[in-house]
Amino acid sequence: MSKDLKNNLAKLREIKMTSEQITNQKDFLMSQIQSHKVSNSSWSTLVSFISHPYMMKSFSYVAAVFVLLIAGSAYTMSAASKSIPGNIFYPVKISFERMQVSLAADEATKTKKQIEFADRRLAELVDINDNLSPVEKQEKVAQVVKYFNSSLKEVKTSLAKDGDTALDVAKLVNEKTQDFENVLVGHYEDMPITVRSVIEKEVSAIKYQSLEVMVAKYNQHDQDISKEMLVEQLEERIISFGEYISQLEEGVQAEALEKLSAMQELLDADEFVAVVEFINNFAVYLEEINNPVLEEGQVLGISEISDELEIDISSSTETSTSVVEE
Amino acid sequence: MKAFKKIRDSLILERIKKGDANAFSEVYDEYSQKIYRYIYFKVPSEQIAEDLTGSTFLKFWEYIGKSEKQVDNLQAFLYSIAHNLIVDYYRQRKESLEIDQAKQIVDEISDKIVNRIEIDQEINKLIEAVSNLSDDYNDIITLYYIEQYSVKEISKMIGKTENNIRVTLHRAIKALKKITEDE
Repeated sequence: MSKDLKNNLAKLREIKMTSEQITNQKDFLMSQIQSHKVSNSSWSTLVSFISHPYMMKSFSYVAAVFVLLIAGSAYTMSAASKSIPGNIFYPVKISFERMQVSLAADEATKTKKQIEFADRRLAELVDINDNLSPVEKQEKVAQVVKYFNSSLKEVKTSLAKDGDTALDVAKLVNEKTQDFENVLVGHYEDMPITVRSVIEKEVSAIKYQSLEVMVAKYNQHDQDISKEMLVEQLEERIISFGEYISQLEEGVQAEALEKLSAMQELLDADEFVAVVEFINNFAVYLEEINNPVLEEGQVLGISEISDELEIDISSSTETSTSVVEE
Repeated sequence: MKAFKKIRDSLILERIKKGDANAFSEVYDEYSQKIYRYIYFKVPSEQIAEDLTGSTFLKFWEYIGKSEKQVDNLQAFLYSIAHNLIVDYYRQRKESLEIDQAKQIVDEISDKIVNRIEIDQEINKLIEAVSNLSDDYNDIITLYYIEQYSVKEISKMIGKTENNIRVTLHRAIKALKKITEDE
């Protein structure tokens, strides 16, 4: 075996959890094993946990989790729910959310939770964008977008499961992504182009996926989706493009309207599969128009944008241009 | 030293059986990064690796506390829990993924690599290569070259003969070289 390969393999030992991850995980595990130890009243659990010599060292976030879960301290719950990355309660918030997902009774409930948490990430993003300096924003935005994408990834996986609840999940996703888009439209000018692009792409993808599921279920003669319902959902999607088109220049607007008109014709002809395909292509077309710093036809991939979010985003236009030029 | 470790481990297990949280903490401190790395090369993302690492220790605690059976080798037991959790994870995923979405896993592994921007390209390729090895080869490479366990220790952990381990090691390196040279 070559020495290089051997040395490189040894270097893989550098792959580790960060000290923050270790501390957080250990604290969480210790809280869990303490709750396994004492099974009677929740107060005795809380008292024995807090009075344990390990916990008396410092008021760690794990104590906050216990108070949150058992005593239900209004202050702690409120502090955790409003926290953003960097706040001591933020890991509490995320851990609590993950627990809710793992304890969910069924797939639909899990997906509902993931969508709810994606919604929270967007609210955090708006909060960070509105209230922090460019330097403070950088790392926090990256972290929030990472969690947002992670939630949406789980939603995509859920949508791909062709079970009994697929249609319910699709309807829920379709409804909620409209709310996401409203937030994005409302803060269009405030968000850095890269962040906006990542989120738009992810939201568009799950919206497209949910429409695909609905069309598939309709074609399978699923009784829970009528033609009227399906047409309504597709038309709503088409209408939602209106906000974006209204911001385009005149010449481009005319072109976009022509495409929408073609989409309407397909819808009128009940060509639902084609309509969904058209919707997806139209979303990509709009993204290309709305991000003029990109080369024609090029859209930044998620991994590139994730890398970019590691770099200074306070001068996002400049950064985007330099990324494209590379 | 090995005799000492064996004695120390059995004392720790006894303490955990009695509900000693400090003993659990010692096990976590010693093995958490190793278990994390073991899982890291087998799952699509750091977050999943982190979650499964936590679950490994939680299951370890539950089992030792409740089971009457004796655990002879603490180290091997932890790895076997981790391995079973990975299997369960993929079993649940397999139920939901269609064939052409298997590519999604490869793409996610690429995401895991891209996030490690501080590691150079050659290492990134190696991470991908190790992640793409078969289960057996992945285990052997991780335990021998990355965690630097001896053949004897690995044979106890995996439950195969030392000779078998050496042969698998040789084949694993060959497979790894082939993947890295093909790129």
